[in-house]
Amino acid sequence: MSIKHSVNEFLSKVQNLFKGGGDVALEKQKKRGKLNARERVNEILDSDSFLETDLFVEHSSTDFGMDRKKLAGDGVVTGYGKIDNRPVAIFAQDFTVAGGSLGKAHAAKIVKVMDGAGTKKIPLIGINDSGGARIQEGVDSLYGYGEIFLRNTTFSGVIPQLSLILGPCAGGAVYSPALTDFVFVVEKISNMFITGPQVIKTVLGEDVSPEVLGGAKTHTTITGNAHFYAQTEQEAFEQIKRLLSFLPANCLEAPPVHQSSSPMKKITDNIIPDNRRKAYDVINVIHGLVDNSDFMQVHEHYAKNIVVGFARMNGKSVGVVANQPRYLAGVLDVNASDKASRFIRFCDCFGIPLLTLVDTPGYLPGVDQEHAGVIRHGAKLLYSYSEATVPKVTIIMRKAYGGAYIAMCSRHLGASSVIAWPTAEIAVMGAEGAANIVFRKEIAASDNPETTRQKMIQEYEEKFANPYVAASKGYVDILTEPHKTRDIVIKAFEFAGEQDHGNSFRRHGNIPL
Amino acid sequence: MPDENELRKLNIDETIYETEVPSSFDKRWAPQDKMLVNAFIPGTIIEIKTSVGAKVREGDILLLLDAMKMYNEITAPVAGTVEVVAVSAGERVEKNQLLVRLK
Repeated sequence: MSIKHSVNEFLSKVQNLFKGGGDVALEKQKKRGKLNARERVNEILDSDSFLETDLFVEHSSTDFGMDRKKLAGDGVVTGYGKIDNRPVAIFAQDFTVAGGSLGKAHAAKIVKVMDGAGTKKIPLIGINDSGGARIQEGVDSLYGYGEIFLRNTTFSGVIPQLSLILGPCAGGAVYSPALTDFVFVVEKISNMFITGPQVIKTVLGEDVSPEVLGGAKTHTTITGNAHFYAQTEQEAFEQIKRLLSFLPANCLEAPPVHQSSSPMKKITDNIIPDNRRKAYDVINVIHGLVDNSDFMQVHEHYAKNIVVGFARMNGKSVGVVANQPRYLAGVLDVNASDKASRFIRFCDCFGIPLLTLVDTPGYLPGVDQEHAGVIRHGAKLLYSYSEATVPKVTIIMRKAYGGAYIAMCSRHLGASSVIAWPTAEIAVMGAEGAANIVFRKEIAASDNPETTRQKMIQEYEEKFANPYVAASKGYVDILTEPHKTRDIVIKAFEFAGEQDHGNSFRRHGNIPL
Repeated sequence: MPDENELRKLNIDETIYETEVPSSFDKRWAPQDKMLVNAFIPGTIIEIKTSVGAKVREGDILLLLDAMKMYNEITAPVAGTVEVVAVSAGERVEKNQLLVRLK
């Protein structure tokens, strides 16, 4: 056989494999408004940077006629490439090949690229588009899922792991994305559920569409299973690139440093309303603090009473956590605690300093919240802030009451610096509630209880609804006007070091879950 | 995604704030009425084991509900008299649908 013949044979094999599930299946994928696996990989990665591995892998299954079936790449595209010239590992399930079903060889390819990411200490991007387990392969496909889950977990906190859901992701398959750091979903394309609408209909008689049960909106607004919502696949790819720009490649590396730039919008001293009962959008404050007013929200549509996301200050990445007075007055509740805790722990894993903006009336009262376990969930916030060893700078803008004051990265939970504005109110509770308790007897004994009550509220406000009592005890380190805050925060981060809790002998703590 | 924008009043610890409040927030908790026996899961009624006027003790079996491939014994949460049997054998029931009312 001539060399030319060998090369041609090789090229025709590659050409065949690149066709995935064949022209008909590719056309079908396109009609669904979806790119195919290889297109997706190339769209995400810097052009011509993709190095594909294991293209020639085949399954060795023989049952149910599988011995006669050849599956291109066994239904998954794997390899390495670059994003903004930084290396990443990537896999993309190919729905056109046997519905992207996961068999042993398919899983082995994913596992290999995961191990590659772990060894090279580079981020892992997984694109999920699969009907689920390859039933013909039986327990071998379950073995495959288990091997993936194990690596998702052992690499957690070592390398950033991102999951894109670009098709169905059902049954056990959902747990790999759920174990990763960030999940991206796309309108009308992503579907995630443990049991699909068909099974729910058969077993329970409940009629529900895939979109309502586990579509992109459901997972970004109701369940919180997904962190980023996009209208199109392209938008999701841009989100991935933007997110990675804030993150280090692994837990040993520092996040990339960018050129420092001033915010587009400045903070004026009246950035927040003087009436503490009035709402405002905390996003405006964040925009006024961070470089170029560039703030990337995580979980933007979920538990909107707290805002979390990535930004830069003086060119360096920070994780921002802020109460949102615009929504539910910025109360802490079960979902807000979960959302913030997960984010704080991510930042702490990857050495990203935390900037906390406080304006909250406290924890949300009510039977629903108590029964939903607000004690256990709220405790996560205390735990994750206390546990975090990254530099932590806190700005108290307005209300910081009671347990919520402590929880929102107070000095007492190990904040590196606590900064307060003159409008800050650091107290056990709001003036109305406090006056009713402290002056109950005076109010009851008065000829005109309502007038007395108002007088007592005013008295309490004047005495305690300010930052000076806390500052006099050293619970607040720095007082400043809003317009000077950015410069002070940058300095505070500069002088704050990594903390050492002196318990490295510990296996791990036991976060309340 | 569109955001709700209307501001409403929300009372937290006797301070009234103006803020966005989602509609789900309007659902209020109500104590459970132990005289109402509702389906805890959707399914199919297999057999009615009681009748109107019957005196039952706490824990007596009222009916069998087939759900999740299991026959579930639905029992009286408290002692009482059966006032209404709201379903019949073979009937498909939704979650929280009334099955039996006691008095």
